[in-house]
Amino acid sequence: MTRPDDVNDDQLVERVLATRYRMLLGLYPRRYRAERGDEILGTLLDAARPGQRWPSRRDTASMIIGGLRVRAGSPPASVGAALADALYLAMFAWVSAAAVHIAASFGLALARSRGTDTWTVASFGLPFGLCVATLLAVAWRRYAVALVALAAGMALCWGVDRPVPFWPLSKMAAWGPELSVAVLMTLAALAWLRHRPAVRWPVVLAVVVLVAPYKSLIHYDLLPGDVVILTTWLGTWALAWLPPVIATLLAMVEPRLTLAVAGHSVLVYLTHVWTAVVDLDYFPDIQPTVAAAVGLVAAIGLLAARRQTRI
Amino acid sequence: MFGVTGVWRGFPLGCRGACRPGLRIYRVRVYNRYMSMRESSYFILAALMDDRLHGYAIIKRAEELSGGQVRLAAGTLYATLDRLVEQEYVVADGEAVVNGRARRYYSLTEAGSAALREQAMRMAAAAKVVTDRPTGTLRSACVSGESA
Repeated sequence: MTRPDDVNDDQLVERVLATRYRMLLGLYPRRYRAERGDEILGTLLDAARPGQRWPSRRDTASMIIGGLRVRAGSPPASVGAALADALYLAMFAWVSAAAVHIAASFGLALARSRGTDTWTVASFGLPFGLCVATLLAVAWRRYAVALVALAAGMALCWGVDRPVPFWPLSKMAAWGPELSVAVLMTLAALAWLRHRPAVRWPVVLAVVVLVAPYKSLIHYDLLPGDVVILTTWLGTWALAWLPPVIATLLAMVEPRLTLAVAGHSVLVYLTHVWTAVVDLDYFPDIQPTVAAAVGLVAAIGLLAARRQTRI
Repeated sequence: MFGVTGVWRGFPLGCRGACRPGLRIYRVRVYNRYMSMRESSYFILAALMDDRLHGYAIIKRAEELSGGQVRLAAGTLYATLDRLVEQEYVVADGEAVVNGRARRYYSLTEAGSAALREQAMRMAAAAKVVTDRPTGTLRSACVSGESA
């Protein structure tokens, strides 16, 4: 770095530090930065030690968490409002997981060159389209439209007279009508509350990215038989232990996201239990572990949400 | 659950801000009664009692008032200030540029002052439970506990 003649060492060090703090400020949304960026930078520089060149670990951690929190939206007014926001996010988790699985199954059918007839394309395309319509309707807070679209998608999966590998939509419809009803009732509750989410789109995107490919892409339907046992075992253990680890990290930033992940895990767990009861002895040993893990995630989320509502 | 205008005000669980604390679950009610405000918020409001201050001055004053216990990081300070401004406990009160650094000053509002006093009274009441009891009573209880 070339130094201008009229700049002394202290000023140069401050400029270096200010540049590094500005990079951290990039974690905040642009509008917030435009309004508060200079003020926060001034405070950070005021608080810096003489000769300090790097942001302290405390400031770095607080700005990472602070920036992500501002991006996530405004904090909930109460634990109830946090739960309603979490249900709103969970709808994205449930329906996007179904959509991803339908798309993945369709890709598999094409790869096996057994499903290019009109009926197959329609049987994949219609539920997928209805899932996407549901997601868009929820995003635009048209809950009644979403309710109709999702109910139609479920009815389609349930009513089709052939094996439909649409997990979890088909699992919900075929194995657990109660679970389908639970999802539809959640949507109905959001419609009744006319819920206005306080979370912003980055959180919605985060829940979709976290949950949608999870389990669907490693589901045994999509893999050759030899790998089934290994991936099923890994998938189920991941289901048990990955959420608590992720949830703890998420709860530091956005407890509503943690609660949404717990909500999704509850549904996946109930689907497993239902399958075990109705179909075959499906992972009987793993169920208490999964139940404990889901409970832990929910507890972490609730405690963090409660803390978030305090001033 | 619904306000007079029928607007959804959240589930009847918990409470924050100026609404009266007190929940249906006993332990939570006790917790709410004494600890409804975070320590960082309490000391930020306390720092602003005497005069309007800018960000760094709030950090220093809060540290001083808490005897070094509350050391606010910038991210925490601004996240808390945002919430206090949203609750109308604090207002932005002027801007200045000093030594090339932008500063915004904050002042305590009447609502903020009332909330701070309410919190202080709660903590004083909680402290009174212990401080009003004669030291001898506590000691004899400890001794009898040990002998038992």
